[in-house]
Amino acid sequence: MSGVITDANGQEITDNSFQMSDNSESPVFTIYVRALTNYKLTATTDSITTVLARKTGSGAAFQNIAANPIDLTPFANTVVAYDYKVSAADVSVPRNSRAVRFRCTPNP
Amino acid sequence: MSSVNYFSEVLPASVAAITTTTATSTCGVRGGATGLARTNTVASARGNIVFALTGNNAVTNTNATSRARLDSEPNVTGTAAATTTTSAAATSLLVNTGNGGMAATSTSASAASFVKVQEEFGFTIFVDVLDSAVSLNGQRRRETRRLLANGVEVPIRSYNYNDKAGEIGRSLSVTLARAYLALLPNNAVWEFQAGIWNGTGYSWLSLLENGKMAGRNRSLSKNDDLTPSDMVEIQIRDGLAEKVTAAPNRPIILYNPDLTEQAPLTDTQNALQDINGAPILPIVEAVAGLDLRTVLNRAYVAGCGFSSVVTNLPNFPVARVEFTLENGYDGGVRNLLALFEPIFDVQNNVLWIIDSDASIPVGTTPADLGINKFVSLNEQIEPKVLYDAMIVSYAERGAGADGEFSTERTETPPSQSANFGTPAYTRTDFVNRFRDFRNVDNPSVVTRSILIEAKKTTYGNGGAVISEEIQRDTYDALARKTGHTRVIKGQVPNLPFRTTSLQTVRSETETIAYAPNPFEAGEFVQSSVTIFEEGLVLIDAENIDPLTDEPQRIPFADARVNFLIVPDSTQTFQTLPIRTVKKQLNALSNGQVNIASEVINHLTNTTERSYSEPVPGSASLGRADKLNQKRVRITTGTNQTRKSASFDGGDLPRTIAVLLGRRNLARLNSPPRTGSVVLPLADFTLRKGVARRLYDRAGAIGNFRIVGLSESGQTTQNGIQTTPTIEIKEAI
Repeated sequence: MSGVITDANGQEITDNSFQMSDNSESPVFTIYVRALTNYKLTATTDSITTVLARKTGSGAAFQNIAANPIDLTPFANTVVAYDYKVSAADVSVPRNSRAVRFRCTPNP
Repeated sequence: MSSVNYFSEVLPASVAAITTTTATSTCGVRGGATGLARTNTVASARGNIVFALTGNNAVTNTNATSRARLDSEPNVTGTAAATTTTSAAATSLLVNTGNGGMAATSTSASAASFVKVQEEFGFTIFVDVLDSAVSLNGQRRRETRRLLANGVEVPIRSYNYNDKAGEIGRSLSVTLARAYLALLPNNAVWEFQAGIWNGTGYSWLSLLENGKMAGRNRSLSKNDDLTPSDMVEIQIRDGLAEKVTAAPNRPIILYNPDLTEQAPLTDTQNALQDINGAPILPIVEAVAGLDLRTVLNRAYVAGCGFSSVVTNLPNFPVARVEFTLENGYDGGVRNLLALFEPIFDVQNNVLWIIDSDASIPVGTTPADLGINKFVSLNEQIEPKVLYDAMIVSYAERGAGADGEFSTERTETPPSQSANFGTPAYTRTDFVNRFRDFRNVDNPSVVTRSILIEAKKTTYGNGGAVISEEIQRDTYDALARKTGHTRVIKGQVPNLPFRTTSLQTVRSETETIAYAPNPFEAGEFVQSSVTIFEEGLVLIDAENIDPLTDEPQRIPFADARVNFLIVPDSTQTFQTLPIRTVKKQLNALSNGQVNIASEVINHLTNTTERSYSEPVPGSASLGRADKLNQKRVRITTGTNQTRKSASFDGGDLPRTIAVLLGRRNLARLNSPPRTGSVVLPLADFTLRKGVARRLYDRAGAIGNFRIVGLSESGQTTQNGIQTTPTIEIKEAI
């Protein structure tokens, strides 16, 4: 059974593109994930950017999902909303373009 | 007929060692109140071992169990254990415990197990991190441009910079401020930078790096006042453009063994040769699970030297890809990407391939590009032709596809009788056994069917069996017939007695071989057919062959027809080799086929016939793929009144082809707006793939992606004046 990450309209998300200042955090985006047993939310590591996420409405602190993936098993076979944002470190050039993969995988 | 289809899958870690991982599935079919399974009832289940195929470590203690059960019947159980060689096998066994239950006709259960790569999903976040020292929360800072040769600035008079849509790499045309060729060092490494004022100095952003001079123009002239007006203009291509020209030393063919037969070797006689006359043959490599991601990595990372590839294109299986000497690695991939019309960009030596039609997620609003922020906007819509349906072609995996399983059924065609009511009455009964192939996704549908056994029994007057013939055909994984065995039984005298009994009089074994078509890539030809016959041979010790001084040996059929069988004699029967027929088929380049045939009589040790002749036509049996081309019609509503558009998805699987087809249909009915925007000032935040929300005098007109960039500039008293232009395409 394959999964999909969608936006609020149910449209599958293939990418999200935006700009932000260094030493800051991006706005918060909400995604909808079809949770599967043993699957985890994680991200590729990047030297400049960090992907932070938490379950929508949980009130929990955002966590670095590359270092500390979020387990979807407790919500298996349901669609769950998650908030994510990106934190950017300092850059020394005017524009440093990064590509980070937001992953839902059993092998983080 | 009803069916139950249930599927569960455990997807363990891909690269690390996998232990004690189990996948189980159960599929049950209930019979009626009598407890008997109804006719044509199929219960099938699949147990999978799932792990990555690349970089895999040992897999231990991993089992896949499948069970198919007919209610009130004994269970049909199959088990499969993965081995360290990463293979899985399953057996199914039907057991009747004699408890009174009987399987109804055409009822079967089967199990299949296979190995599959794990599945992961997600999306890509493209982030431009801006130095806050220069971005100033949207306010413009002073910008400049400079050209460096080996790190030393070369003053410029004017420039044209291009980062074109659909291309990898940037180009620059520069007129130097001073027309001195000495300013052009040999083999210099060129760099073009954008400088943004940070309050105390310029922060530099590289727009073109590792560049090489591709051309030069020079003119010498004078102004009216006789002062020189010489000019030197150079064209520079960046290192990225050089990277994508990379090509292998020998052609490389990657193919997916699950989807296609091995790619053919080049005809050595007509192959490309090196200067010494040696053929330059392609490297043919089977890549299990070959898909778009793998192809992109092989082309752009291993081939061109990018550190990685990032893309939001959907991944899909690829049957075959070829990197030729003429087209290189980039050329070999472009046809796979063409349907998506992607945007190419390179950041930090990472190649970005962005689907230009990917929708912008809800909740993400691109930055505004208001009417006060640009000099001019040109926007157009292509004329549209309205369609309400589209026919999408796609590839469907055939033989050997994941999830495929087979069931068997028996058919008894009507008997044939002759001479009813006479002593010459005969009746021939037929029993044919078929193997039907189905898929677990839709087990009630037979995707293909092959005849595996044909039995023919002929009875004489009184019901005695006169003859019996059974032929069993064999097929390979591509559903090609590989041969057959045929056994013919007849009434044979039990020498030296006159009584007869049904015995095997002749058996035949056919073997068919296939080879790649040397003239058509991807096709195969039937290269040889060998038929070996053996059977009963009458050994007549009372008649000696004068050539061999041995008893005559006569095949039973010939002996019987010629009344040579004599009971109460020293004659005996033996089963001996009788004949071998060999046919070689060679495809000729002019479309003919040359057939060389030889018939060897083993009883006389002679060649009965031997000939070779060309015949018209081709021995080719079509593309050696396991992909079947299918078509599906997608519509925009419930009532279609217009002619349908068409979309050729090629080898794309159904889900991807339909996705692109729907997108294509939407675009045909509502073509995206395209155009260009001239900006008043340079904006370093702009790059290909970035989205902007455009405004006209009435308000917002939509979201657009930047698909190309160009910039012209010239040096003035106030510094470099830039005129950037962006090419835009409306986003979904």
